[in-house]
Amino acid sequence: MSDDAIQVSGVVKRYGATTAVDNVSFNVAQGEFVSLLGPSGCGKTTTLRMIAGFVEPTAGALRVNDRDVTHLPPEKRELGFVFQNYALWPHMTVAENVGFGLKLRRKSRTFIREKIAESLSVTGLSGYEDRLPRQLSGGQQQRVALARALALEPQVLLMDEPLSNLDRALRVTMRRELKELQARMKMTTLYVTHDQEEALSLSNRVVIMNKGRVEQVAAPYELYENPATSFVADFVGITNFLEGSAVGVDGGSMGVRLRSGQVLRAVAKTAVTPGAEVRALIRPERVTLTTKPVDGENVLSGQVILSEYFGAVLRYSVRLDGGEILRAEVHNFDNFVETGAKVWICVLPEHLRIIPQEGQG
Amino acid sequence: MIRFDFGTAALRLITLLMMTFLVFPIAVTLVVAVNPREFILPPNGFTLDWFRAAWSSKTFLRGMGVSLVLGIAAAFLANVLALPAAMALVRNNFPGKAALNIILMSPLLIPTTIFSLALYIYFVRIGYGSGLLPLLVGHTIHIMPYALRILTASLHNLDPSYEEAARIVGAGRIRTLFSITLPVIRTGLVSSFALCFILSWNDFPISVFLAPPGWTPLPVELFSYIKFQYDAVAAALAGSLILLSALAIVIIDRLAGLRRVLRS
Amino acid sequence: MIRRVLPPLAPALIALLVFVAFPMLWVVRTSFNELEAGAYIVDALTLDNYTRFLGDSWYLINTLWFSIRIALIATAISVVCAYPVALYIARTAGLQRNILLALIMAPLLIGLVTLVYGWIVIFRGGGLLNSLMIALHVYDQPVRYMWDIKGVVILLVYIGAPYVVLSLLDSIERISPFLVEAARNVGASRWTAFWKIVFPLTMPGLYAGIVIVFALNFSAFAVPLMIGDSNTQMIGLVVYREALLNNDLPFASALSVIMVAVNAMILMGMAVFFGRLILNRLEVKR
Repeated sequence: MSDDAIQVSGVVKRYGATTAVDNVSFNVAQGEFVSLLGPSGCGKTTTLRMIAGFVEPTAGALRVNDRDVTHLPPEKRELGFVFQNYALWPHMTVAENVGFGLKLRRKSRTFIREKIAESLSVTGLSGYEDRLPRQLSGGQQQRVALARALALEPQVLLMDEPLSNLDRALRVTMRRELKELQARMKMTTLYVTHDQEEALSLSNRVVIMNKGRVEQVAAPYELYENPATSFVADFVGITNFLEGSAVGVDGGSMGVRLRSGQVLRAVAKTAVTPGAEVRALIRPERVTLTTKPVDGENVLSGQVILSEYFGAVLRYSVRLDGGEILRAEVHNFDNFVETGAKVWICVLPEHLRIIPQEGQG
Repeated sequence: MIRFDFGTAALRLITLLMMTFLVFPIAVTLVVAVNPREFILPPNGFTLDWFRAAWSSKTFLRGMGVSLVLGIAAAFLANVLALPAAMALVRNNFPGKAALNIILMSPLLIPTTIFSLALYIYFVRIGYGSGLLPLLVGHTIHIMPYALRILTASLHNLDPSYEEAARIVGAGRIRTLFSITLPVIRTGLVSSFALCFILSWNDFPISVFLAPPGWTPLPVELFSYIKFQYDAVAAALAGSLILLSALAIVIIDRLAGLRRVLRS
Repeated sequence: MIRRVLPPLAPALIALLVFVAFPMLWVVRTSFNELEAGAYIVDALTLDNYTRFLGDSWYLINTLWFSIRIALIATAISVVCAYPVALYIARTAGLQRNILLALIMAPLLIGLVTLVYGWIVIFRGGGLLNSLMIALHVYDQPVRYMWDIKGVVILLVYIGAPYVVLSLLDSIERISPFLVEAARNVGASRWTAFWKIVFPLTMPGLYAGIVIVFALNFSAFAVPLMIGDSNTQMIGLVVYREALLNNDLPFASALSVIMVAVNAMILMGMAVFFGRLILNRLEVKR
């Protein structure tokens, strides 16, 4: 028994020789908002469609509210689904679209009418009952699609890139509304997107997928601060990777020996055996950069090969003495450093993550 | 300076001649059908007498009845057979799909003469003899590829998420088919039905082989009539058929686009 | 996958198996049977029906060779008429194009008998054409035009040309206009651009059109039945006559088999010819 709304365990989907989803497991708790985030073709949509019942998994089990739904047809799963292209039935009015599921459940006429009105008012579309989908704008269609899903009061709402067909300004507005709505209705939501901004801002937790596998499941803060793999580090935000080998440093902390021989100290988050090939991750905005020589721990020196002025922030590409390129982003407190200048870069150990080097990943 | 484009002018002239060639017999039929002086051209007036005669002839009315029932039944059956097949072909990719498509289109590749003869012999040999069934089967099979072609094209344009959206709100397969799929592709269905009907309605070669006595479709009836009689009543009947076909052409073109339907 | 795909396809496939494949096999089987007096079919394994046709030079010349010749002539005329029309329609747009296409496709949807009726009015002895000829003093008395093989050829062209136009149009529309412009740009004349660029690229459409129309013409029976005379012994008509009038199903079956075989051989010959033609053109271009 568990109080998870969705349990995905060891789910696999193969199409012939290609594996679209490879042994994916994660849970979504009651009332939680979880995003499936990854580049296109990573298997996130296939995973969502398997939960909905549109795609039959090759292996694995799916449970919704502690009921095994792995082999149930979609109509028996009692889920809400919002499609990327809205999928509003073109031959039905807005009211008919929203009320179709209720009609199938043989609800009374008055109940259906009230429920339609309620769902449309929640999504801000009251008064549009008799319009046809083609008479609505993209944003309005999106709201109808949402109202259609909400009208049935599903235990779980699945959304497949629902905002990706909207223009940027509308996308941001809709994103905020969605977040408010979800917080108000406390509806368990699984949300597929390739937009990290969307995933990070909306979700309680994010499942990062790549090449059919789960890379990391974590809260947005954790993803950014403690990426489990270099894929996650690279996909969520911008990261510098410095390659080297792990060394044990006194005081229980870890260190990485760069190619130049210099050792950088880090706070150990993941266990790494000394001597292993590792990568040191440094976020560009977590470094300090000066033109004056600095002595001490975790100081790297190099030469600015590109400096970009963005007003609020300044971005530099620095060639370290060891040959690596390091990107740095600093707030515009200091003087702008010109290309060619010799600089010193400080990284605090708590801002430096060490992760094992994976095989091609 | 006037540039005289000889190439285009020649093409235009040939096209004009060709169109005249195509339209001429149709026009002649229509003119004769409303010309008070039987077959004497140019016409000296306008009359609907020939039409009246054609439409009150018992033989023709019966032929029309047969063709109507046959056309509706064959068009219905052809679409019933073609729709699930079209769905399976559009929704899935599997090895041998191209070959299967050719098999389903095969009635178009077999000369009508041989197809009709084969069905004729078949029904004689299985002891069925003559009756309505061979005629209905012949028409249905012959028009099925056209239905398959139009329905495949319509289903290609149908977003599968419409059906998924219906399933997820609780509609079963059958309910989804009737409440969502068929209404969404209704223009394709109507034009498929119209094309199938008009092909069956106008068919001669299959009917002449397979029509049982007493159940003569209109084109065969018209054929026997003009073989023995030469009057403007036949022109009026032919004219009626032309007008009906024109109506079907307009419907199909509006709904599905003629080009896509008749692509050889 | 098969479990999901097969059930919806099954009705159509079973219908084709039962009402096309089986009947076609029956035709082959029946062609080896004998016909007894009183038109009863007797199961046998004899080649009589084939030798009766293939061993008879009258049949070979007046039916088989005659049908091939008529079909080839009608196909050739259809192509010559259709090619310029397809070129012209490809250049048109809007309403003009829609009208032209509707006119081209009308004969495909209007019934055969209906179409032939108009021609009968024109060709008939004492009909429109004849009256005109008399008025122009070409002839001084009614002639029985329609009962003539010329009428058959005209009708076959009338029915076949639209198919050729449509299949050519498919090919022409696929040619990028830039190809022609590029050729003109490097100094090719209008004619050279046509012969070296457009013509070779329309070969697939031309081939498809010819295949359809030749098969239609070769097996035609309704047209010769309606407007030919007793001398127009096209093979499709003989099949019809033997099957329905003489009730000699074994002989009609053998004729059908011969018809399909000859049609296939001629189409294969055309495939080789066209294959070589297309290849040659491509080599020239290189």
